[in-house]
Amino acid sequence: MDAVMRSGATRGLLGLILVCAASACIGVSPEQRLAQDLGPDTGPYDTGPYHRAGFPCTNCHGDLWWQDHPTFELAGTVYRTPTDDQGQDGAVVSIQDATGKTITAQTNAVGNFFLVNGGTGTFRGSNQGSTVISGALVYPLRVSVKAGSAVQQMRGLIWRERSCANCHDKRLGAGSNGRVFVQESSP
Amino acid sequence: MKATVPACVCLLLGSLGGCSSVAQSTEHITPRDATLLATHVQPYLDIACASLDCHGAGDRPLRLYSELGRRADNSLRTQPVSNQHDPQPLTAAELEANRQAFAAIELADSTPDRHLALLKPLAASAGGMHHVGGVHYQSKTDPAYLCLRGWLVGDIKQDIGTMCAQANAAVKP
Repeated sequence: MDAVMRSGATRGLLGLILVCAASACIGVSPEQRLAQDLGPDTGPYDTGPYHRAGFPCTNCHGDLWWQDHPTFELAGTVYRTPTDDQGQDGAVVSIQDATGKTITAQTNAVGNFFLVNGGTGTFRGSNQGSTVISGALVYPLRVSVKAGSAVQQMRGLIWRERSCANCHDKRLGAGSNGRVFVQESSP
Repeated sequence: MKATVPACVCLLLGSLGGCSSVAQSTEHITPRDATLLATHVQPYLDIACASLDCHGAGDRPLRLYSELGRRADNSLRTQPVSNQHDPQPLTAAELEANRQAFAAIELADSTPDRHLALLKPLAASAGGMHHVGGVHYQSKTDPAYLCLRGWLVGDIKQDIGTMCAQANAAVKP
């Protein structure tokens, strides 16, 4: 009888260990952690092409993180000036990849733009910020932004990043050149 | 008296010869020369290596400072770089940190061509190894390879200058 009880307790203990191990495996992945670290969206839009302006889009809409669709080849937010909180509507983003292929995207009302590689999806209407491309971008990329007569040419190259905001954080400093903007200052 | 004229001509030709030899200088630099890093190598590193999404990232091996990428301190970037505003030049401390970063990844056997900064960006077909940042030198005759190699091993100053200028021109946006 004693032996039976001991055997049952051992099996129970083993089961508990297995459950703990499994839940550890199911824990938060680095990609999930990256997405969660963005914190809550402070803007007025819950989802769709206007949400999370100024955030690094591909932390969620990237190929490492499959829960948020569509996934983007490149995405970001363009602002009018370095200190303006309002995104630039209708800015033209020109991207030339390493093969010489040039893609032109247009920002939506909150300044967001995003390149989607083929397939089908939502947000394909005019002025929604979406640009469909065929084939992956070949890095490095040369980028410029234009709104009206104002133009900014990026002085460096993009070597691997897919979200503008991962380098262009709004907090200007040692690790960021500030937001992407088109005009030097307010007119 | 008549012999003076040919002597003068000889002197003149000798001087010109001297100038010519200066133009084709074979002066070697010391390995990882600090001045040459600032004037010739760093401009290439700025664009090709040290962007914030590569070796300018804080957690990347061979972390490098650059005018457009990571700065050592927030005070070194007080306004965004733009068409009208140039970045602040790198400080001596930032350049020295970059110099030391290259020294830190030198392999113990110190064979020049086995420096990781030469091997990693080199195409596998030319003897290179995997580099997450992709292939930057297609062969060992690539100007960027020769620019960096010359600086690392202490090659002829003038050759390094020529190679670095070609490498910079190839990557400049």
